[in-house]
Amino acid sequence: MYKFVIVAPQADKVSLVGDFNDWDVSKTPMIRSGQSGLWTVAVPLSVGRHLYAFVVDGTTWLQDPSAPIAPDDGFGRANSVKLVVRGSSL
Amino acid sequence: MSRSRLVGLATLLLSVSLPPFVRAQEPEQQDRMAKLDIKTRGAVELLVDSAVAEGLPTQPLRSIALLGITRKADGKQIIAAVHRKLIALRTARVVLGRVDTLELDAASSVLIAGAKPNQLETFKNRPRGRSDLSAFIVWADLIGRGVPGEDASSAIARLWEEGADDATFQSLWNNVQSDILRGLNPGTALQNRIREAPGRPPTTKGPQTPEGQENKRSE
Repeated sequence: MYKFVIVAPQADKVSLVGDFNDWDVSKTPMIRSGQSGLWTVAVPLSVGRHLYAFVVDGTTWLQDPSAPIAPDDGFGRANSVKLVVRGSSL
Repeated sequence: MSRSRLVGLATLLLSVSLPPFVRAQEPEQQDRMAKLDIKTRGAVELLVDSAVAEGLPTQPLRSIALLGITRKADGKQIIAAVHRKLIALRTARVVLGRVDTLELDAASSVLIAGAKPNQLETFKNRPRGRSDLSAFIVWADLIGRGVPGEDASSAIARLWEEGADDATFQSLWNNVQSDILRGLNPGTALQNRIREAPGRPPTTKGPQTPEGQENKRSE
């Protein structure tokens, strides 16, 4: 399982979207930890180069500040990158 | 004819009459694809059917279409992005021959990132059982983060020819990434780190083991 974390104290809901869940905003809701504004979720990932982003309140797309960025997703926006190689992740 | 046989026959006829694109999709994907306008969906279906006919993986194409839907991208943009991926998958297949789906997808990402098809040729003849997936993943990412394409290509090819394993590619990526975060120019970061990468004599058979290789991962 791979853990994703984002700080969004003002958000009412945050979702993780990526090629691993068909970029579906409804599939991977993140869980808020107390009052800190920290949102987390853990998902299984296969080996590969995974693109992902966080969607805040269903409309605002955020990149992961702790991950590298893939500059162009074909739609003029950037996504974050999680590299999973055999035995570990990048 | 019994009722169960009729139902079975109807199911068979229905599944045969559906285009391959529709048959191969998960129900949830079909629902979301329905958000596309008819013209865009038809064009995407044609591209995916082409991939099916050529024996290319279709999931990378669907994933791009679904990203476009979620992004609320224009139909023309979605078609262009799916088409670009299909071309890259096709080119990677021509250069590399038969490789598994993950490797082909990763190789196509290298091409989309800006590598030239002839730069993939290093990976065409490889020992049985050796995967080039890690090399492709790191290569595409290095280009995406600003390392000049020629530098990234020659560095990855050199490591590959020297028999680098997954851990070596992983540590290279980690070290270059940490240098970039420290403010180093991406190209310079790669050049510095590639000099430190463990060299091994070129191999001609069998997958590599990590024995004897230094893991330079810095994190």
